Amino acid sequence: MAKRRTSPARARGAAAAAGVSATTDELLLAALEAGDPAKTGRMLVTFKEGAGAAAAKSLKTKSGMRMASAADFEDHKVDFSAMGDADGVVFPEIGVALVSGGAAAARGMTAAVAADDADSPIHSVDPEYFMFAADVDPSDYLKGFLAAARTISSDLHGAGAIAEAIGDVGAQVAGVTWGLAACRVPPSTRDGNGIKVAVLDTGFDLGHPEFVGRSFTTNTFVGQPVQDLHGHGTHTAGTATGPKAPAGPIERYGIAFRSKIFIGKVLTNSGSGTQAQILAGMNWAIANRCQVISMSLGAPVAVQPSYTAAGSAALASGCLIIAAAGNASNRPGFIAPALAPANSPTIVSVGALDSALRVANFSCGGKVDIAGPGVNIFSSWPRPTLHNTISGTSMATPHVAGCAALWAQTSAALRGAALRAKLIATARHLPLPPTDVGAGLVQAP
Amino acid sequence: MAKKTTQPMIVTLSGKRAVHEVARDLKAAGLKVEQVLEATGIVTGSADPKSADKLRKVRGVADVSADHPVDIGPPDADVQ
Repeated sequence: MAKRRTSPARARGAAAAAGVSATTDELLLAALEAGDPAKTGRMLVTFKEGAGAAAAKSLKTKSGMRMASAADFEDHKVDFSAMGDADGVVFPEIGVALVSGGAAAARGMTAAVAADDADSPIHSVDPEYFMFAADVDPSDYLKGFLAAARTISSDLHGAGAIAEAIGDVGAQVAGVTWGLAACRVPPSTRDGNGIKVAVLDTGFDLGHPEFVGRSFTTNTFVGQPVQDLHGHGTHTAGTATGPKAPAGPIERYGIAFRSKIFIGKVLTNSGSGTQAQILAGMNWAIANRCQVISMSLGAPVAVQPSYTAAGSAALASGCLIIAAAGNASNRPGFIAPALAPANSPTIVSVGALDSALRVANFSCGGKVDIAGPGVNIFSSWPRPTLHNTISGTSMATPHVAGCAALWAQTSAALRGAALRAKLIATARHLPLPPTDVGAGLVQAP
Repeated sequence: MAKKTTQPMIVTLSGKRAVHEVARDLKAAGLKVEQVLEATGIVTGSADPKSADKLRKVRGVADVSADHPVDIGPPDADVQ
Protein backbone atom coordinates (compact mmCIF):
# COMPACT_ATOMS: atom_id res chain seq x y z
CA MET A 1 0.00 0.00 0.00
CA ALA A 2 2.68 2.47 -1.03
CA LYS A 3 0.21 4.62 -2.92
CA ARG A 4 -2.74 6.13 -1.20
CA ARG A 5 -4.80 8.70 -3.03
CA THR A 6 -7.05 9.44 -0.07
CA SER A 7 -6.49 12.84 1.46
CA PRO A 8 -6.82 13.17 5.26
CA ALA A 9 -9.82 15.45 4.79
CA ARG A 10 -11.60 12.85 2.70
CA ALA A 11 -10.81 10.15 5.25
CA ARG A 12 -12.48 12.21 7.96
CA GLY A 13 -15.51 12.49 5.69
CA ALA A 14 -15.60 8.72 5.39
CA ALA A 15 -15.42 8.38 9.17
CA ALA A 16 -18.60 10.35 9.47
CA ALA A 17 -20.47 8.56 6.71
CA ALA A 18 -18.86 5.14 6.01
CA GLY A 19 -20.64 5.44 2.66
CA VAL A 20 -21.41 2.62 0.26
CA SER A 21 -19.08 4.08 -2.37
CA ALA A 22 -16.12 4.41 0.06
CA THR A 23 -12.95 2.48 -0.83
CA THR A 24 -11.56 -0.16 1.55
CA ASP A 25 -8.62 2.12 2.37
CA GLU A 26 -10.96 4.94 3.31
CA LEU A 27 -13.02 2.62 5.49
CA LEU A 28 -9.91 1.20 7.21
CA LEU A 29 -8.58 4.68 7.99
CA ALA A 30 -11.98 5.75 9.28
CA ALA A 31 -12.31 2.61 11.40
CA LEU A 32 -8.87 3.14 12.96
CA GLU A 33 -9.86 6.73 13.76
CA ALA A 34 -13.13 5.54 15.30
CA GLY A 35 -11.16 3.09 17.48
CA ASP A 36 -12.91 -0.06 16.24
CA PRO A 37 -10.65 -1.43 13.49
CA ALA A 38 -12.63 -4.65 12.95
CA LYS A 39 -15.81 -2.93 11.77
CA THR A 40 -16.35 -0.84 8.65
CA GLY A 41 -19.00 1.39 10.24
CA ARG A 42 -21.62 0.20 7.74
CA MET A 43 -24.50 -2.15 8.53
CA LEU A 44 -25.68 -5.34 6.83
CA VAL A 45 -29.42 -5.96 6.81
CA THR A 46 -30.41 -9.60 6.35
CA PHE A 47 -33.91 -10.21 5.02
CA LYS A 48 -36.20 -13.00 6.12
CA GLU A 49 -36.35 -15.89 3.68
CA GLY A 50 -38.67 -15.07 0.77
CA ALA A 51 -39.22 -11.54 2.06
CA GLY A 52 -36.53 -9.88 -0.08
CA ALA A 53 -38.88 -7.75 -2.20
CA ALA A 54 -40.91 -6.62 0.82
CA ALA A 55 -37.74 -5.83 2.79
CA ALA A 56 -36.21 -3.80 -0.03
CA LYS A 57 -39.46 -1.89 -0.37
CA SER A 58 -39.61 -1.29 3.37
CA LEU A 59 -36.09 0.19 3.38
CA LYS A 60 -37.09 2.56 0.58
CA THR A 61 -40.57 3.62 1.72
CA LYS A 62 -40.67 3.15 5.52
CA SER A 63 -37.08 4.22 6.17
CA GLY A 64 -36.93 6.65 3.26
CA MET A 65 -33.54 5.48 2.04
CA ARG A 66 -32.19 5.90 -1.47
CA MET A 67 -31.35 2.29 -2.27
CA ALA A 68 -29.42 1.00 -5.28
CA SER A 69 -29.86 -2.64 -6.34
CA ALA A 70 -27.31 -5.15 -7.57
CA ALA A 71 -29.91 -6.07 -10.20
CA ASP A 72 -29.36 -2.61 -11.75
CA PHE A 73 -25.85 -3.67 -12.77
CA GLU A 74 -25.08 -5.88 -15.76
CA ASP A 75 -24.70 -9.51 -14.58
CA HIS A 76 -24.95 -8.26 -10.97
CA LYS A 77 -21.36 -6.95 -11.24
CA VAL A 78 -21.79 -4.26 -8.62
CA ASP A 79 -19.45 -1.26 -8.97
CA PHE A 80 -19.37 0.37 -5.53
CA SER A 81 -17.61 3.48 -6.82
CA ALA A 82 -20.65 4.14 -9.06
CA MET A 83 -23.04 4.27 -6.09
CA GLY A 84 -22.53 7.99 -5.55
CA ASP A 85 -24.47 9.17 -2.50
CA ALA A 86 -26.92 6.25 -2.28
CA ASP A 87 -27.85 5.28 1.29
CA GLY A 88 -27.48 1.61 0.56
CA VAL A 89 -27.47 -1.21 -1.94
CA VAL A 90 -29.71 -4.31 -2.05
CA PHE A 91 -28.36 -7.71 -3.10
CA PRO A 92 -31.59 -9.50 -4.08
CA GLU A 93 -29.97 -12.89 -4.81
CA ILE A 94 -28.68 -13.35 -1.27
CA GLY A 95 -31.36 -11.34 0.56
CA VAL A 96 -28.98 -8.81 2.08
CA ALA A 97 -28.64 -5.02 1.94
CA LEU A 98 -25.62 -2.89 2.78
CA VAL A 99 -26.51 0.42 4.45
CA SER A 100 -24.10 3.35 4.87
CA GLY A 101 -23.00 4.29 8.39
CA GLY A 102 -24.58 7.73 8.04
CA ALA A 103 -27.98 6.45 6.88
CA ALA A 104 -28.00 3.78 9.60
CA ALA A 105 -27.11 6.30 12.32
CA ALA A 106 -29.69 8.84 11.10
CA ARG A 107 -32.44 6.21 11.47
CA GLY A 108 -31.22 4.82 14.78
CA MET A 109 -30.46 1.46 13.13
CA THR A 110 -28.40 -0.70 15.52
CA ALA A 111 -27.34 -4.34 15.49
CA ALA A 112 -30.36 -6.46 16.38
CA VAL A 113 -32.27 -9.56 15.51
CA ALA A 114 -35.82 -8.50 14.70
CA ALA A 115 -37.33 -11.72 16.01
CA ASP A 116 -39.93 -9.99 18.15
CA ASP A 117 -41.57 -8.31 15.18
CA ALA A 118 -43.28 -11.07 13.19
CA ASP A 119 -44.54 -8.59 10.57
CA SER A 120 -41.10 -7.20 9.79
CA PRO A 121 -39.52 -8.59 6.59
CA ILE A 122 -36.07 -8.05 8.17
CA HIS A 123 -34.30 -10.89 9.96
CA SER A 124 -31.35 -9.06 11.47
CA VAL A 125 -29.13 -6.00 11.33
CA ASP A 126 -25.40 -6.60 11.89
CA PRO A 127 -22.23 -4.53 11.64
CA GLU A 128 -20.13 -5.15 8.53
CA TYR A 129 -16.67 -6.52 9.33
CA PHE A 130 -13.47 -6.23 7.35
CA MET A 131 -12.42 -9.49 5.68
CA PHE A 132 -8.79 -10.42 5.29
CA ALA A 133 -7.23 -12.72 2.74
CA ALA A 134 -6.64 -16.45 3.24
CA ASP A 135 -7.87 -17.41 6.68
CA VAL A 136 -6.18 -14.59 8.56
CA ASP A 137 -8.09 -13.64 11.68
CA PRO A 138 -9.00 -9.90 11.84
CA SER A 139 -7.08 -9.67 15.11
CA ASP A 140 -3.95 -10.61 13.15
CA TYR A 141 -4.22 -7.16 11.65
CA LEU A 142 -3.50 -5.79 15.13
CA LYS A 143 -0.92 -8.49 15.82
CA GLY A 144 0.93 -7.08 12.80
CA PHE A 145 1.21 -3.72 14.52
CA LEU A 146 2.51 -5.40 17.69
CA ALA A 147 5.05 -7.40 15.69
CA ALA A 148 6.24 -4.24 13.96
CA ALA A 149 6.60 -2.45 17.29
CA ARG A 150 8.59 -5.38 18.65
CA THR A 151 10.88 -5.40 15.63
CA ILE A 152 11.56 -1.68 15.98
CA SER A 153 12.21 -2.17 19.69
CA SER A 154 14.66 -5.01 19.10
CA ASP A 155 16.42 -2.95 16.41
CA LEU A 156 16.87 -0.16 18.94
CA HIS A 157 18.26 -2.51 21.56
CA GLY A 158 20.47 -4.34 19.09
CA ALA A 159 20.23 -7.90 17.88
CA GLY A 160 21.96 -9.12 21.06
CA ALA A 161 18.73 -8.71 23.03
CA ILE A 162 16.99 -11.51 21.15
CA ALA A 163 19.92 -13.89 21.36
CA GLU A 164 20.09 -13.23 25.10
CA ALA A 165 16.36 -13.79 25.54
CA ILE A 166 16.30 -17.18 23.86
CA GLY A 167 19.77 -18.50 24.59
CA ASP A 168 19.00 -20.44 27.77
CA VAL A 169 17.31 -23.49 26.22
CA GLY A 170 20.73 -24.71 25.14
CA ALA A 171 21.24 -25.88 28.72
CA GLN A 172 20.20 -29.49 28.09
CA VAL A 173 18.58 -31.60 30.75
CA ALA A 174 20.26 -35.00 30.89
CA GLY A 175 18.09 -37.94 29.90
CA VAL A 176 15.28 -36.03 28.21
CA THR A 177 14.71 -34.72 24.68
CA TRP A 178 15.39 -31.04 24.00
CA GLY A 179 11.67 -30.60 23.36
CA LEU A 180 10.58 -31.83 26.79
CA ALA A 181 13.27 -29.69 28.45
CA ALA A 182 12.14 -26.59 26.53
CA CYS A 183 8.54 -27.18 27.65
CA ARG A 184 9.73 -27.63 31.26
CA VAL A 185 8.22 -31.10 31.46
CA PRO A 186 10.93 -32.78 33.62
CA PRO A 187 10.36 -30.62 36.74
CA SER A 188 6.56 -31.02 36.53
CA THR A 189 4.99 -33.25 39.17
CA ARG A 190 2.06 -34.06 36.88
CA ASP A 191 1.73 -37.24 34.82
CA GLY A 192 -1.68 -36.97 33.09
CA ASN A 193 -3.26 -39.52 35.43
CA GLY A 194 -7.05 -39.61 34.88
CA ILE A 195 -6.87 -37.58 31.68
CA LYS A 196 -7.94 -39.07 28.34
CA VAL A 197 -5.75 -37.99 25.43
CA ALA A 198 -6.90 -38.82 21.90
CA VAL A 199 -4.38 -38.91 19.06
CA LEU A 200 -6.03 -38.91 15.61
CA ASP A 201 -3.36 -40.08 13.19
CA THR A 202 -2.05 -43.20 11.36
CA GLY A 203 -2.71 -45.50 14.35
CA PHE A 204 -0.16 -46.85 16.83
CA ASP A 205 2.22 -49.78 17.26
CA LEU A 206 0.15 -51.44 19.98
CA GLY A 207 2.99 -53.89 20.69
CA HIS A 208 5.65 -51.24 21.31
CA PRO A 209 7.66 -52.42 24.34
CA GLU A 210 7.73 -48.97 25.95
CA PHE A 211 3.90 -48.91 26.15
CA VAL A 212 3.33 -52.29 27.83
CA GLY A 213 0.61 -52.06 30.47
CA ARG A 214 -0.78 -48.71 29.26
CA SER A 215 -4.52 -48.11 28.87
CA PHE A 216 -5.44 -48.05 25.17
CA THR A 217 -8.86 -47.41 23.61
CA THR A 218 -8.68 -47.68 19.86
CA ASN A 219 -10.81 -47.38 16.76
CA THR A 220 -10.15 -47.27 13.03
CA PHE A 221 -11.99 -44.98 10.63
CA VAL A 222 -10.10 -45.94 7.46
CA GLY A 223 -10.87 -49.65 7.06
CA GLN A 224 -7.37 -50.76 8.13
CA PRO A 225 -6.33 -52.21 11.50
CA VAL A 226 -5.23 -49.62 14.09
CA GLN A 227 -1.71 -51.10 14.04
CA ASP A 228 0.51 -48.31 12.61
CA LEU A 229 2.45 -49.32 9.51
CA HIS A 230 3.38 -45.70 8.72
CA GLY A 231 5.12 -44.45 11.87
CA HIS A 232 3.69 -40.93 12.12
CA GLY A 233 0.95 -41.89 14.61
CA THR A 234 3.33 -43.87 16.83
CA HIS A 235 5.68 -40.86 16.89
CA THR A 236 3.05 -38.21 17.72
CA ALA A 237 1.29 -40.33 20.36
CA GLY A 238 4.72 -41.11 21.83
CA THR A 239 5.43 -37.42 22.45
CA ALA A 240 2.02 -36.72 24.00
CA THR A 241 1.72 -39.85 26.16
CA GLY A 242 5.02 -41.80 26.16
CA PRO A 243 6.81 -43.28 29.20
CA LYS A 244 8.61 -41.40 31.96
CA ALA A 245 11.66 -43.63 31.94
CA PRO A 246 12.26 -45.78 28.86
CA ALA A 247 14.62 -48.72 29.49
CA GLY A 248 18.35 -48.38 28.88
CA PRO A 249 20.02 -45.28 27.51
CA ILE A 250 16.87 -44.03 25.77
CA GLU A 251 16.06 -40.44 26.78
CA ARG A 252 12.59 -39.48 27.96
CA TYR A 253 10.42 -38.31 25.06
CA GLY A 254 6.84 -38.69 26.40
CA ILE A 255 4.87 -36.13 28.41
CA ALA A 256 1.57 -37.39 29.93
CA PHE A 257 2.96 -40.82 30.86
CA ARG A 258 -0.02 -41.94 32.97
CA SER A 259 -2.79 -40.62 30.72
CA LYS A 260 -5.37 -42.88 29.11
CA ILE A 261 -4.46 -43.18 25.44
CA PHE A 262 -7.17 -43.02 22.76
CA ILE A 263 -5.90 -43.93 19.30
CA GLY A 264 -8.20 -43.01 16.41
CA LYS A 265 -6.81 -44.18 13.10
CA VAL A 266 -8.06 -41.49 10.67
CA LEU A 267 -5.14 -41.72 8.21
CA THR A 268 -4.18 -44.85 6.31
CA ASN A 269 -0.77 -46.52 6.44
CA SER A 270 0.20 -44.36 3.47
CA GLY A 271 -0.66 -41.23 5.46
CA SER A 272 -3.85 -40.19 3.71
CA GLY A 273 -7.48 -39.76 4.71
CA THR A 274 -10.59 -37.76 3.99
CA GLN A 275 -12.25 -34.98 5.93
CA ALA A 276 -15.20 -37.29 6.65
CA GLN A 277 -12.91 -39.87 8.27
CA ILE A 278 -11.20 -37.20 10.35
CA LEU A 279 -14.55 -35.76 11.47
CA ALA A 280 -15.63 -39.27 12.44
CA GLY A 281 -12.51 -39.55 14.61
CA MET A 282 -13.15 -36.18 16.25
CA ASN A 283 -16.75 -37.18 16.92
CA TRP A 284 -15.55 -40.44 18.52
CA ALA A 285 -13.03 -38.69 20.78
CA ILE A 286 -15.57 -36.08 21.89
CA ALA A 287 -18.25 -38.74 22.53
CA ASN A 288 -15.66 -40.56 24.67
CA ARG A 289 -15.08 -37.37 26.68
CA CYS A 290 -11.40 -37.08 25.88
CA GLN A 291 -10.17 -33.87 27.50
CA VAL A 292 -7.47 -33.39 24.85
CA ILE A 293 -7.45 -34.27 21.13
CA SER A 294 -4.16 -34.08 19.22
CA MET A 295 -4.36 -33.78 15.43
CA SER A 296 -1.07 -33.67 13.53
CA LEU A 297 -2.76 -33.37 10.15
CA GLY A 298 -4.34 -30.90 7.80
CA ALA A 299 -5.06 -29.74 4.28
CA PRO A 300 -4.37 -26.41 2.57
CA VAL A 301 -8.01 -25.33 2.32
CA ALA A 302 -10.04 -22.43 3.73
CA VAL A 303 -11.68 -22.56 7.16
CA GLN A 304 -14.10 -25.50 7.12
CA PRO A 305 -17.46 -24.93 8.84
CA SER A 306 -17.52 -28.61 9.81
CA TYR A 307 -14.18 -28.40 11.65
CA THR A 308 -15.26 -25.17 13.34
CA ALA A 309 -18.51 -26.84 14.46
CA ALA A 310 -16.61 -29.89 15.70
CA GLY A 311 -14.27 -27.57 17.64
CA SER A 312 -17.29 -25.82 19.22
CA ALA A 313 -18.87 -29.15 20.13
CA ALA A 314 -15.56 -30.18 21.71
CA LEU A 315 -15.30 -27.01 23.83
CA ALA A 316 -18.92 -27.46 24.94
CA SER A 317 -18.05 -31.03 26.02
CA GLY A 318 -14.99 -29.99 28.03
CA CYS A 319 -12.56 -31.08 25.34
CA LEU A 320 -9.78 -29.13 23.60
CA ILE A 321 -8.69 -29.86 20.02
CA ILE A 322 -5.06 -29.09 19.19
CA ALA A 323 -3.93 -29.20 15.54
CA ALA A 324 -0.77 -28.66 13.49
CA ALA A 325 -0.47 -25.28 11.74
CA GLY A 326 1.20 -27.06 8.80
CA ASN A 327 4.58 -27.32 7.08
CA ALA A 328 3.94 -25.44 3.83
CA SER A 329 6.20 -22.43 4.44
CA ASN A 330 9.66 -21.91 2.99
CA ARG A 331 11.06 -19.18 5.20
CA PRO A 332 12.20 -16.53 5.15
CA GLY A 333 10.85 -15.95 1.65
CA PHE A 334 7.48 -17.63 1.84
CA ILE A 335 5.01 -18.02 4.72
CA ALA A 336 2.04 -20.25 3.91
CA PRO A 337 -1.27 -19.84 5.79
CA ALA A 338 -2.28 -22.35 8.46
CA LEU A 339 -4.06 -25.50 7.29
CA ALA A 340 -7.57 -26.73 8.07
CA PRO A 341 -8.48 -27.75 10.76
CA ALA A 342 -5.89 -25.56 12.59
CA ASN A 343 -7.27 -22.45 10.86
CA SER A 344 -10.65 -22.85 12.59
CA PRO A 345 -11.16 -20.39 15.47
CA THR A 346 -12.39 -23.14 17.82
CA ILE A 347 -9.22 -25.23 17.36
CA VAL A 348 -5.74 -24.50 18.79
CA SER A 349 -3.19 -24.03 15.99
CA VAL A 350 0.42 -25.05 16.75
CA GLY A 351 3.57 -23.69 15.08
CA ALA A 352 7.01 -25.36 15.22
CA LEU A 353 10.27 -24.15 16.83
CA ASP A 354 13.83 -25.42 16.63
CA SER A 355 16.11 -25.96 19.63
CA ALA A 356 17.34 -22.34 19.47
CA LEU A 357 13.66 -21.32 19.72
CA ARG A 358 13.59 -19.93 16.19
CA VAL A 359 10.53 -20.52 14.00
CA ALA A 360 11.06 -23.65 11.88
CA ASN A 361 11.52 -22.65 8.23
CA PHE A 362 8.58 -24.87 7.20
CA SER A 363 6.13 -23.70 9.89
CA CYS A 364 2.91 -22.11 8.58
CA GLY A 365 1.90 -18.63 9.74
CA GLY A 366 -1.14 -16.45 10.23
CA LYS A 367 -3.58 -18.21 12.52
CA VAL A 368 -1.10 -19.66 15.03
CA ASP A 369 -2.13 -19.78 18.71
CA ILE A 370 0.91 -21.34 20.38
CA ALA A 371 4.20 -23.04 19.47
CA GLY A 372 5.99 -26.26 20.40
CA PRO A 373 9.28 -28.04 19.67
CA GLY A 374 9.14 -29.33 16.08
CA VAL A 375 12.66 -29.76 14.69
CA ASN A 376 14.71 -32.96 15.24
CA ILE A 377 12.19 -34.50 17.60
CA PHE A 378 13.02 -37.93 19.04
CA SER A 379 10.05 -40.20 19.84
CA SER A 380 8.68 -43.73 19.46
CA TRP A 381 8.41 -45.51 16.08
CA PRO A 382 6.88 -48.88 15.11
CA ARG A 383 8.96 -52.03 15.74
CA PRO A 384 11.59 -53.06 14.92
CA THR A 385 13.00 -49.51 14.70
CA LEU A 386 11.43 -48.42 18.04
CA HIS A 387 12.57 -44.75 17.75
CA ASN A 388 12.94 -42.05 15.13
CA THR A 389 13.98 -38.39 14.98
CA ILE A 390 11.85 -36.29 12.62
CA SER A 391 10.61 -32.70 12.15
CA GLY A 392 7.31 -30.93 11.51
CA THR A 393 4.43 -29.04 13.10
CA SER A 394 3.12 -32.61 13.49
CA MET A 395 5.80 -33.04 16.18
CA ALA A 396 5.08 -29.66 17.82
CA THR A 397 1.36 -30.47 18.20
CA PRO A 398 1.68 -33.42 20.64
CA HIS A 399 4.04 -31.35 22.83
CA VAL A 400 1.13 -28.93 23.30
CA ALA A 401 -1.37 -31.80 23.70
CA GLY A 402 0.81 -33.51 26.32
CA CYS A 403 1.26 -30.29 28.31
CA ALA A 404 -2.50 -29.67 28.00
CA ALA A 405 -3.12 -33.08 29.61
CA LEU A 406 -0.82 -32.15 32.52
CA TRP A 407 -2.66 -28.85 32.99
CA ALA A 408 -6.05 -30.62 32.79
CA GLN A 409 -4.89 -32.85 35.64
CA THR A 410 -4.17 -29.86 37.91
CA SER A 411 -7.84 -28.81 38.08
CA ALA A 412 -11.18 -30.21 36.96
CA ALA A 413 -12.07 -26.62 36.01
CA LEU A 414 -9.40 -26.57 33.30
CA ARG A 415 -11.45 -28.01 30.46
CA GLY A 416 -12.27 -26.77 26.97
CA ALA A 417 -11.93 -22.99 26.64
CA ALA A 418 -10.50 -22.65 30.18
CA LEU A 419 -7.76 -25.14 29.31
CA ARG A 420 -6.98 -23.23 26.13
CA ALA A 421 -6.79 -19.96 28.09
CA LYS A 422 -4.41 -21.59 30.60
CA LEU A 423 -2.08 -22.83 27.85
CA ILE A 424 -2.02 -19.37 26.27
CA ALA A 425 -1.53 -17.54 29.56
CA THR A 426 1.33 -19.76 30.73
CA ALA A 427 3.17 -20.00 27.40
CA ARG A 428 6.72 -18.68 27.41
CA HIS A 429 6.76 -15.39 25.54
CA LEU A 430 9.18 -15.28 22.61
CA PRO A 431 10.52 -12.23 20.75
CA LEU A 432 8.87 -13.47 17.55
CA PRO A 433 5.77 -12.44 15.59
CA PRO A 434 2.52 -13.77 17.15
CA THR A 435 1.46 -14.76 13.64
CA ASP A 436 4.34 -17.30 13.73
CA VAL A 437 4.31 -18.54 17.35
CA GLY A 438 1.03 -17.24 18.84
CA ALA A 439 1.40 -16.76 22.61
CA GLY A 440 4.82 -18.45 22.58
CA LEU A 441 6.33 -21.77 23.67
CA VAL A 442 3.98 -24.13 25.54
CA GLN A 443 4.98 -24.81 29.17
CA ALA A 444 4.10 -27.69 31.51
CA PRO A 445 2.54 -26.88 34.93
CA MET B 1 -22.58 -48.93 -17.09
CA ALA B 2 -23.93 -45.42 -16.79
CA LYS B 3 -21.63 -43.29 -14.67
CA LYS B 4 -23.43 -41.46 -11.91
CA THR B 5 -21.61 -38.37 -10.72
CA THR B 6 -21.71 -38.26 -6.97
CA GLN B 7 -19.35 -36.41 -4.72
CA PRO B 8 -18.49 -36.93 -1.04
CA MET B 9 -20.16 -34.20 1.01
CA ILE B 10 -19.81 -32.86 4.55
CA VAL B 11 -23.02 -31.41 5.98
CA THR B 12 -22.67 -29.26 9.10
CA LEU B 13 -25.88 -28.86 11.11
CA SER B 14 -27.03 -25.72 12.90
CA GLY B 15 -27.88 -27.58 16.12
CA LYS B 16 -31.45 -26.26 16.06
CA ARG B 17 -32.99 -29.63 15.16
CA ALA B 18 -32.40 -33.23 16.22
CA VAL B 19 -29.50 -34.68 14.23
CA HIS B 20 -31.43 -37.76 13.12
CA GLU B 21 -34.38 -35.72 11.87
CA VAL B 22 -32.07 -33.60 9.73
CA ALA B 23 -30.27 -36.74 8.49
CA ARG B 24 -33.63 -38.21 7.43
CA ASP B 25 -34.54 -35.03 5.53
CA LEU B 26 -31.09 -34.94 3.91
CA LYS B 27 -31.64 -38.48 2.69
CA ALA B 28 -34.96 -37.45 1.21
CA ALA B 29 -33.20 -34.51 -0.49
CA GLY B 30 -30.77 -36.83 -2.25
CA LEU B 31 -27.86 -37.42 0.16
CA LYS B 32 -26.63 -40.99 0.43
CA VAL B 33 -25.96 -40.80 4.17
CA GLU B 34 -22.80 -42.55 5.35
CA GLN B 35 -22.17 -41.22 8.86
CA VAL B 36 -24.38 -39.41 11.37
CA LEU B 37 -21.96 -37.81 13.84
CA GLU B 38 -24.10 -36.81 16.81
CA ALA B 39 -21.42 -35.43 19.14
CA THR B 40 -20.27 -32.92 16.53
CA GLY B 41 -23.56 -32.35 14.66
CA ILE B 42 -22.22 -33.41 11.28
CA VAL B 43 -23.63 -35.73 8.60
CA THR B 44 -21.36 -37.13 5.89
CA GLY B 45 -22.30 -38.90 2.69
CA SER B 46 -22.34 -38.45 -1.04
CA ALA B 47 -24.63 -36.73 -3.49
CA ASP B 48 -24.86 -35.32 -6.98
CA PRO B 49 -23.04 -31.95 -6.78
CA LYS B 50 -26.10 -30.41 -8.43
CA SER B 51 -28.20 -31.29 -5.39
CA ALA B 52 -25.98 -29.32 -2.97
CA ASP B 53 -28.33 -26.34 -3.04
CA LYS B 54 -31.26 -28.61 -2.26
CA LEU B 55 -29.35 -30.03 0.71
CA ARG B 56 -28.55 -26.50 1.93
CA LYS B 57 -32.27 -25.71 2.06
CA VAL B 58 -33.00 -28.59 4.44
CA ARG B 59 -34.07 -27.12 7.79
CA GLY B 60 -31.31 -27.44 10.38
CA VAL B 61 -28.43 -27.38 7.85
CA ALA B 62 -25.74 -24.72 8.39
CA ASP B 63 -23.31 -25.67 5.63
CA VAL B 64 -22.77 -28.14 2.81
CA SER B 65 -19.18 -28.53 1.58
CA ALA B 66 -17.35 -31.00 -0.62
CA ASP B 67 -15.10 -33.43 1.26
CA HIS B 68 -11.36 -33.01 0.68
CA PRO B 69 -8.42 -35.38 0.95
CA VAL B 70 -5.79 -35.06 3.70
CA ASP B 71 -2.25 -36.33 3.20
CA ILE B 72 0.68 -36.13 5.61
CA GLY B 73 3.13 -37.70 3.16
CA PRO B 74 5.27 -40.83 3.37
CA PRO B 75 7.11 -41.96 6.55
CA ASP B 76 10.54 -41.07 5.13
CA ALA B 77 9.64 -37.46 4.32
CA ASP B 78 12.02 -34.86 5.75
CA VAL B 79 9.24 -32.87 7.37
CA GLN B 80 5.99 -34.39 8.66
